[in-house]
Amino acid sequence: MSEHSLVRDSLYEYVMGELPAGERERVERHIQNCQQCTGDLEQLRETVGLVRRPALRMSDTRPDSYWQAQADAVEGRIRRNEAQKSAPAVPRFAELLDMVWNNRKSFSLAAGSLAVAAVALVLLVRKPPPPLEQSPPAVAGMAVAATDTQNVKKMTQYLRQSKNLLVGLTNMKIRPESPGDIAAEREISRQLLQEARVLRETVFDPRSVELLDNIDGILVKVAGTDEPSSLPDIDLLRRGIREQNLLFKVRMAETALQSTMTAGYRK
Amino acid sequence: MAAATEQQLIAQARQGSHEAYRLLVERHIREAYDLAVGFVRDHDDAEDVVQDAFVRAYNSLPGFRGDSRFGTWLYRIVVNLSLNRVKQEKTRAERELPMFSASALVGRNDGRYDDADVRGHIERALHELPTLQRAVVILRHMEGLSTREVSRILRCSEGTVKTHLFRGLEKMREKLEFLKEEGV
Repeated sequence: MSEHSLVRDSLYEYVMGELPAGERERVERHIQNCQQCTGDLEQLRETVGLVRRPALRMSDTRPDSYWQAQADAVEGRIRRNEAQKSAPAVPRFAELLDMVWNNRKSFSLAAGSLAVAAVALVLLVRKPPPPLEQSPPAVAGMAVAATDTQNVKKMTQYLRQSKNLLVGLTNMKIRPESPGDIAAEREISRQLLQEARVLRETVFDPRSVELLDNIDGILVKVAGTDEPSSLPDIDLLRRGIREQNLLFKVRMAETALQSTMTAGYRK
Repeated sequence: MAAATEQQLIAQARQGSHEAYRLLVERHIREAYDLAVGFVRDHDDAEDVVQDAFVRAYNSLPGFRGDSRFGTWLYRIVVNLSLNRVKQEKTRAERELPMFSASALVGRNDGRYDDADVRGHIERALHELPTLQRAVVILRHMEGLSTREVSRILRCSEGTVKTHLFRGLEKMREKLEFLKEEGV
């Protein structure tokens, strides 16, 4: 490569002050005798002056909570992928639950299928819930069963808290001229994202995983919302909740889980 | 684990430690986002790209030889995913410029260019560059990565990086010549 080409390729570093002293002097020696490089240098200075490195990085415009929520989302996806890879065969009952959720217009069918859905949701956890009177467990198998009851309880609690949050966001009154304070909702969303990560290690039914994903989608947005939140932010969240019919899905799952628990107690 | 070096975290993540990988995510997610948004120009798209990149990076960790920094390796994934996303978007109608991404391209120090129209022109000039030149300008000039790092990310020689940077900035200057005439 000729001296001219070498210097020409180094002009950017020269303009940005990145060249070591020796190379800087070499460029300066060359441009004294090269009209083309002198012209290029002048034009490069103009361009760099106009197209500057950003003083404010885009990531600086987002709060720390947003990045935590993003990290939660990444971790959730990784855990979910791993859980799906190691999951046993998909239970066919999930298809019935699909039918309930996808045929929202025929609500009577959904209500009629609730009993079936309750059976399907027994499969939300790896093992069937144990009879409570067998507690405390005396053998290892019973210990596993007791853990499963805990999982059902955790799932029930998670669904209830999620429902409360979604209802709160849906009914929140915000005036267009004044931003809303959803600091509490942000905190709850972060907690629920953590709980969802734990639940994913237990839940293997694809419909349940999808429900967790759908809820996560809203929680991540809430957790990452700027403070204070504007009406468009909240409206966007509400639209997401509405379009996915999320409250209905949560209520259905909640009802089905309650039936599962009741059946467990009766047994 | 907070004081662990990057190499230690990578080794632990390879063993399946989600906690270690999460620390790597937290260390690099802002830079990855800045890089992605420079290519895709849209917050939601950049968010998707970054999440996909970290998930892919995790799945590919067994193949990470460690002969470059984790960040360099990750940025390569981010750039590839971003370029794919841009290619998909190309078939769609030209979108409105997002209100915040344009501001990333111009310094705010003196406020001389703090005008949405000017920023829009600069951003358009950048995105009209051929793919490789645009990638080099974003990585080298906007993100301030070294020539060596950029050459590793884009898998080309340092000479190619320098040439594309020079040509890319030259083309941008030609496209933005009218701003000078208007006294901007």
